Amino acid sequence: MNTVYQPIRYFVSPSRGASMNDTMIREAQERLQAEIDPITRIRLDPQKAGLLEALAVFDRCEVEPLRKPGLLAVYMLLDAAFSRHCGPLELDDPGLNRRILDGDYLYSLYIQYALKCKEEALLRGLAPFVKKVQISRALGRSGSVQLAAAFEQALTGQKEAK
Amino acid sequence: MGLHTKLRIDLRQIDREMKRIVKYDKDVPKDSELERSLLKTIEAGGKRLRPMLVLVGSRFGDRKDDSRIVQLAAAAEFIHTASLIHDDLIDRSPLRRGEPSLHTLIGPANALYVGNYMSARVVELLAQVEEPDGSEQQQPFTAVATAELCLGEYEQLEHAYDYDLGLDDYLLKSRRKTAHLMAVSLEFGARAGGAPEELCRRLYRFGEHLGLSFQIRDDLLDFTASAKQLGKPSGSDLLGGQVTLPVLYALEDPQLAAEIRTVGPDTSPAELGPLLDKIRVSGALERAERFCDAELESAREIARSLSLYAAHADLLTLADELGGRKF
Repeated sequence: MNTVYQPIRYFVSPSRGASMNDTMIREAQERLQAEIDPITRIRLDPQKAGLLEALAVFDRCEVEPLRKPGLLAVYMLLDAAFSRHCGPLELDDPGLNRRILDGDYLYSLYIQYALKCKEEALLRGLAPFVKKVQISRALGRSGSVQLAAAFEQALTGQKEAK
Repeated sequence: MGLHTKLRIDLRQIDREMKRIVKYDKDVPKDSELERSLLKTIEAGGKRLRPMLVLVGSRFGDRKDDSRIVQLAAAAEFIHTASLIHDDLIDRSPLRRGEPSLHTLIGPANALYVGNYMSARVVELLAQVEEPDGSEQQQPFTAVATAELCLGEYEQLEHAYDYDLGLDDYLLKSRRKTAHLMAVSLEFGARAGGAPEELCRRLYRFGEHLGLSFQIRDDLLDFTASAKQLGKPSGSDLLGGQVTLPVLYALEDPQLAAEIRTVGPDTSPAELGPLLDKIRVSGALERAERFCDAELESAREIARSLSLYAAHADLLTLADELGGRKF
């Protein structure tokens, strides 16, 4: 007798989904904190709403579950790098050096960590977006950074290329 | 004869490529402050050492795509220039090579974003690199993973005016802040030229020794070069709290150490003058010079072990020229 295997479908209630998201966020944060060199004293404290938006994007793009924590960590690093360099900068600000260095370090780590997670295609997809954000800022256009949308575009591009 | 001439490198080609990278970016508005700042920064020049290292590295391979290698060489200079713009902000340096630094011209935020643009533009360019076999490789991006460089900066901030700094801490900071990018440039060029992996790693080690000697030479010049040669007053490193190798050696003399330990953020350049003179005659500079020479000799040993490659002569030229540089 031939057995036909059906994929198991889990029903995820809203509360169960929320708890899965929390676990995913915690896992991504823990992975990242282990990557960050202690000398930097950087503590990541991302906005949960932004992370949930990113997770929703990953779902829409049908990202495999095992890939999600790494991808979320990459998202957190780029988001943190952007936010450290955002806003007015004054030479007499005692926190200026830290902000510059933290932003530079987090951006480098974003590249390094994406490579570690084998997300070169994502790096390639996001590269023009990252550059355009810097151009906008250099031109004094301080609009908000649509990071989740950029991830969606890059991930969709990857899916279509397969 | 300049280093580039001895290495048979046309630096104008590098500068042209750097400008082309900016001008061919359709996302940078023509004649915007951003474009003007980028072009002005490129025109201000520099030693162009990292691009030269990329080109020399590529000579160890057999791929002959000159235009691609030149683009990668220009990209290496973009990464270095971006770090200098941010360094000037961190150090609040009003001058760069004797000219007003970028942040004094366009403000700190815009200067920061000019540096960020340069890094991001390099990633965008590298994203377009296709390996000869059509595969996507990690290799091009590793050149822009400059976390090591940032860690060197953190070390420097952490240890400002720290006169208990150990030699190992100093060496770690110098490897991260200076030697790593020089070593990566050479390795990056070799990989782009198609050199085998073991050779790329040996070139990295050569670059690391060369880079460390380059940093120590820089430390020495803070005591020996004129303000005109340096583009900043001599003793600036000590005044800014950087505990360099000559200072570490000088700290071994109890009398000198007591004076050095009084140097802090409020010390004036005039107050520092007599102390600089004492350090100059203490023997500390000669000891740092010997350390620098030992690093250069380690670099030369690696170069000589590569004598099967014609380009090994270029490595020896690099060691000779950078070892004897005056500013």
